[in-house]
Formats: sequence, C-alpha cells, structure tokens
Amino acid sequence: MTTLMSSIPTDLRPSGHIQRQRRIERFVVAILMVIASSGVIITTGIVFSLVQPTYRFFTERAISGYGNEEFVGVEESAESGVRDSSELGFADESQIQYAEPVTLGEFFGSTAWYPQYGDGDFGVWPLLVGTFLIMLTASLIAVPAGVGIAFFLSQYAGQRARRILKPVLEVLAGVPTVVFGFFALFFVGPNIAKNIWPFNEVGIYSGLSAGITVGLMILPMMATLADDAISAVPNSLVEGAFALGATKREVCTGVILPAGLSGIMAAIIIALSRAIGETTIVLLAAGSQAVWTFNLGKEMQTMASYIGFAGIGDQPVDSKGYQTIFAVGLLLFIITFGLNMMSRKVVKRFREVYE
Amino acid sequence: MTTIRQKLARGVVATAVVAGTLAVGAPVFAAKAGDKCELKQVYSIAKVGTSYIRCEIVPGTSLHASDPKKKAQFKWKSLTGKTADLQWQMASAKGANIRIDGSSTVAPLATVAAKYFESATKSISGKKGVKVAVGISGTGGGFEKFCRGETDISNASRAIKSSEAAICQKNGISFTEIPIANDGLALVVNKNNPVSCMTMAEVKKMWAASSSAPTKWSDINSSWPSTPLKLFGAGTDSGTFDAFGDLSTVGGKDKLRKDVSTSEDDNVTVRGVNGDTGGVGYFGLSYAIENADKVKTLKLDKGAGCVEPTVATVQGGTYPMSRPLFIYPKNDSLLSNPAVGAFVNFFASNVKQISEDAVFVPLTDSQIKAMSGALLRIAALPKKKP
Repeated sequence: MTTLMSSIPTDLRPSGHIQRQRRIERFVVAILMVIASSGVIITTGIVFSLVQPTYRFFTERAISGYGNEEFVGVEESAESGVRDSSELGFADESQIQYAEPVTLGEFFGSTAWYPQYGDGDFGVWPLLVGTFLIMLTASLIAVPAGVGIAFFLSQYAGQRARRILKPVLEVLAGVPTVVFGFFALFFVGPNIAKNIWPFNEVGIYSGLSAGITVGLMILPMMATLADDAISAVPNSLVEGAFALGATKREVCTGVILPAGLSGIMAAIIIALSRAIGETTIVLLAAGSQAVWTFNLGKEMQTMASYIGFAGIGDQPVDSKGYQTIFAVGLLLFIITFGLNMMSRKVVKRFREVYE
Repeated sequence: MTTIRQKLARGVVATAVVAGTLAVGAPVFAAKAGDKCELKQVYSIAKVGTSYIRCEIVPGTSLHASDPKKKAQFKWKSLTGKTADLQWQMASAKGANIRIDGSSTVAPLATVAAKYFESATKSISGKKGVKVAVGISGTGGGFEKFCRGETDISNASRAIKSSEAAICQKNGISFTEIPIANDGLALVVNKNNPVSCMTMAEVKKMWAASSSAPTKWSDINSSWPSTPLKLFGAGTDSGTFDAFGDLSTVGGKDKLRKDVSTSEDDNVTVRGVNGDTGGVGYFGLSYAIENADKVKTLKLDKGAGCVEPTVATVQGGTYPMSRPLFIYPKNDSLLSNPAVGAFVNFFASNVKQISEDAVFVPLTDSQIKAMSGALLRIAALPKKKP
C-alpha cells in the first residue's frame, strides 16, 4: 500500500484540503477580476477628470486680467526706492476683468485659437485641422511603407533578411518619441521639409517636418501589425493559389491582400490614433502657433501638442486658457475613442471567414 | 588604540585642510589672505587666527573675458567691516532650505547667487550648507506660488502688480521689493538678415495687433527684403511678455499681435530665429549675449540714432527697451528662516560681482542706494532668535 502511494507523483495526490483549495481559487479569481476591470475604472476616472473642468469651461466665467497696470522702468525703480507690500496700492475688486464662459458655438464655430491672451479666442478648428493634416502626412508615409514592409518580410524576404530586418524594426519601435522629436527638429526640418515643400519657405518649425517624423515613428508599429494580419491568412489559401499557377505578385494582391484586409485596416486605424495622440514630436517640431491654415509648410499645433504646450505652465491656473486643456483633452479622447470603435466595426465588416 | 573609523575621520580633516575649505573655528588653516583659490570656492569663508578671509574674484578679471590676460583669477581676501553680522547670519543658516521661484529671466542671476551662497555657507557649517532651489515658472506663475505662501523669494522681471499684491495681502503675506539688476530687452533676428537697426516706430508697426499687420519685412520698411516675417515671443504668463507690451510702445500687452509663436522657454525662440531667415524674437539681454553665435541682436533707435544694448546704454537709459529686475523676499521668511535674510543680504551686498558673473547689467548707483534702503528695512524687521 505504501509503495503504491509513493509511486504517485506528489502533485497528483489528493490534498485532503478541498475546502481550502476552493477558497484560494475564489480569492485568486477575485483579484484577477479586479485587475481585469482596471481598464474600465481608469477610463471612467479619466473621463470624470476631464468632464468637470470642461463643464466649467462652457458654463462659468473666469478671471482674465486686471486691466493695464503701470510699468516700472529703470529710473522709476530708483526713484520709488524700495517698496514694502504695505505701501503698494492694492487692486480692488472692480479692476478685475472676467472672461465669459465659452459657448459651444464659439468653440466649434470659430477659426481663431488664441486662448492664452487676455480676452481670448476659443475656436478649436485650427487644432482640429492641424491634427488632421499631421495625421494625414504621417499616414501617407506609414501606411504604404508599412504594408510594403509587411509584404516583403512575410512573402519575399529570405530567412536571413528576415532575421535581421525584423529585430531592427522592433528596436525602432522602442525609440523614445522625444528622440524622434529632436530628429525632426535638427534633421527632418532643416534637411528634408525645407527642400521638398514648393509653396512657401519652410521655417525650423513646421507641420510638415512633424508629420513626416510622426509617420516614421508609427511605421514600425504599422509594419508589425500588418505583418501579423498577413500571417493570419490561412496557408491553404496561399498554397492553393500557387497550385493554380498564380505568380507571387498575383498571390499577394489577389489572395493575401483581400484575405488580410480586415487586419490591415485595423492596423491602419490603430496607427492613426497613435499619430493623432502623438505629443512630444509635434510639440518639439511643429511650433507653438495654432493657425487656421491648410499649408503644411507653416507652424501648427495639434490637439495633443496644445495640451502639452499649455500644460507646461504658460497658463495661470483656473483661467479660461487653463480650462481649454481639459476641453481639448475631452475632444481628443472622444475622437480617439471613436476611431477605436470604428476599427472594431471595420474588422467585423471586412473579415473573411474561411474555416 | 585608534579604530579605522577614527583614522578615516582624521583623513577627512586632512583633505579639508588641503582643499582650503576647513570649517570656521577650526584651529589650523593652510591659506592666508592673498593666496590663490578656485572658482568652486568663490565666497567661501575661512578663519585665520582671529580674522576671516573670503575667496573672491580678483577685481579687473572676469569669468567671461575673451582676453586671456583678464581671465578670472581667485584670491583669498581678508574680510573687514560687516563680517560679523554676515557670519552670524550664515552660521544660523546651517542646513536650511530656501525656495525661490519666478521669472526665467532672473533665474540665471539667482542661480549664480545661490551657487555662491551655498559654497559660502558650506565653508562655515561643513558639509551641510544652505540649499537654495531656484525654479522657473515665469513672473506671473512665480507670484501665484509666492502669494499662496509656497516660496520664500519670488523672482520678477517686472514690478509686482497691485492685483497680485492684493492676493498676497488677502493671504496675509507681506514682502519687500528689491531691485536686483537691470536688463535690456534684446530684439534678435536671423544672422542672414541684412537689417541691423530698427526705429521704435518700426518696432511698433511690427508687433502691434492690427488688421493690416505686416507679413513681410518689406511691409515695414520698403528697403528691407521681402522675406516673410516670422515672430517669436515670450510666454504670455511671463514678465518679459508684459514688459515687451510696454517697451515696444504698442501700448500694453493687450495690443500685441497674437500670431506669434510663444514659449516660456527662450531656447524655442533662439532655435526658431536661428532656423528661419525672416525670424524675429525678443528676450533678456544676457540671453542674447549668450547666444550671440546663433542670433543677431538689433540696435534700436528712439529718435537719437541707433543704440546697441550694452551695460552702459541700458543703465543710462539710452537703449529704449530697458527694465529693472526684482526679487521679492517674503517678510515672514526673513523673520523665521535666518537663511533667507542671510541670502538676501549676501545677494544684495555682492550684487555687482554676481551680475557681472551671470552676464547681467548691474544696478545703477541710484538703484543701489534704493536697494540699501531695502536692506536697512529688512535689518529693522523685529528679529526672532533662530
């Protein structure tokens, strides 16, 4: 009897503590559930923290200034001598100027965005256009190049080329965006953007150099996701096409592309929402002016880069300009959220089920 | 029997003698007045016999001299006069912290003062000198923190506004205004720009908000090139922005045009003007001198010919865009934290040398007179025992 028990591996023996085992099981499941639902909790928290200041932005007035006050020059500073706080004339309440709450009509109906100035203009369109233009530039670079890389790696590249190219791509994906930002500022701006733009002289800060660099930044991600989508195409389809005498190019365009389209589309949308939310590169390379323009050769701000710019400390806390950070943040959140929803729809719509 | 620990301790004392930064009151000291010292020891104090010596920059030499003969030299000098007072304050400042925030224009000056003060207090109290933290959040942002009681001293590139003073008063914070240096606002352009001098009328035309605001250089003066105008400005919460609104003669900051790339970081302006042929921007003179290899500083003309911003023209008021810079110590900190009083005293009594080392325009004589009034006032504040 003893010999029989000892021949069974230890971990297969009945423990004799089934009650305790179940309790541990339930405890572990509960912890895992909390962790799994943290996404929901965080999202709710973000939305909540954005909604409240945004609501105040559209409903409450804020202090905008105190009128023009005397400027103290070099001579005055010597004449007035030392002033103690008790000798300074204090401003009374009547001198305080207030900014009225921004209406939704102004926010979405005006094309002037100068929130940091006294009276302020709060038309969000320059930021939306800037975001769209930089996203467009980035996708014009990243989408064709990314899909091209994916096809090359999965269909044409030999074992050796793949062994080298794939890790390099992954390394590129790990480069911090601030490095890309300086790459844009000191290389792409002066060497590329300046020379390829035919419409006006491009300065050191431009939407073009930011857009190009954002495109390069999302390229590895685009390529990897597209590669995954292509790899998911059943081998039987590809082999079947070859068996029918199709050339490699015909297999790529006629079989793999339509079969992997849903995955590729999803990859494009994910890459685009990454481009929309990119802050550091645009902040460094595209300047700090939000102008109503479709000319990529000029300075521009995206929604994300405006938030970064204003958050650094150019805005007094609780001014209207400060509240714009949250209003723009909420808008950005809604847009990227919408894009993600769309990508799910797209995946469903274009999915081709074979097995 | 001596332990290893004791041996090590002796070793440390020995090194301290060699380095010449021995604690005041220690029996031996290697250096004497007239001996050489080093940059990192500047304003360190040491005791020789019964008198004190301090490491100072030799007059006539400079940290920034291009002439190698005038390159900075440092020597121990015997301290006379107000030493005892200074020393009392410094000794009481052992291991304290001072929080400074505010203007990014004043920050380099305050940082040099802080560095010197730290080395001075370190030489008195051993390793634990006074820690001075200098933050940069713009004049407006600095006063916001100051009036909430978060900082001991606020740097400002313009005088405090009565509205800001009102907020301070509401929070029970009293302060003393001390002019600490002068500054010329430098108008800088790209190195390839042929323009080298502008009249104030042209400055006004360039920066004033207007429906017909110029978009090309030739719109301002027809003899200038037709390069597109690209404006870079100081952040809207900064004192430099406010001061430029007044000094550029457009009639206050609310009348400045808005299609300007603004940033609290002057480096953004330097990069922009450097990389854009039609670029133009403004910031403190010391920053323009520091970046003389990247941007060109314009001369200005208010009717009596083109004037270059220099120490003399800013002090004399012939350069049109000059302004004083200030520090605002909190009276409560002066009373309760002896380090703050000691720092302000130190800063003010060495202000000429500190301004020079930090490439700032020193105060004029009449301003120094005004400042010494401030120091008397601070000294007269009812003292609490540390």
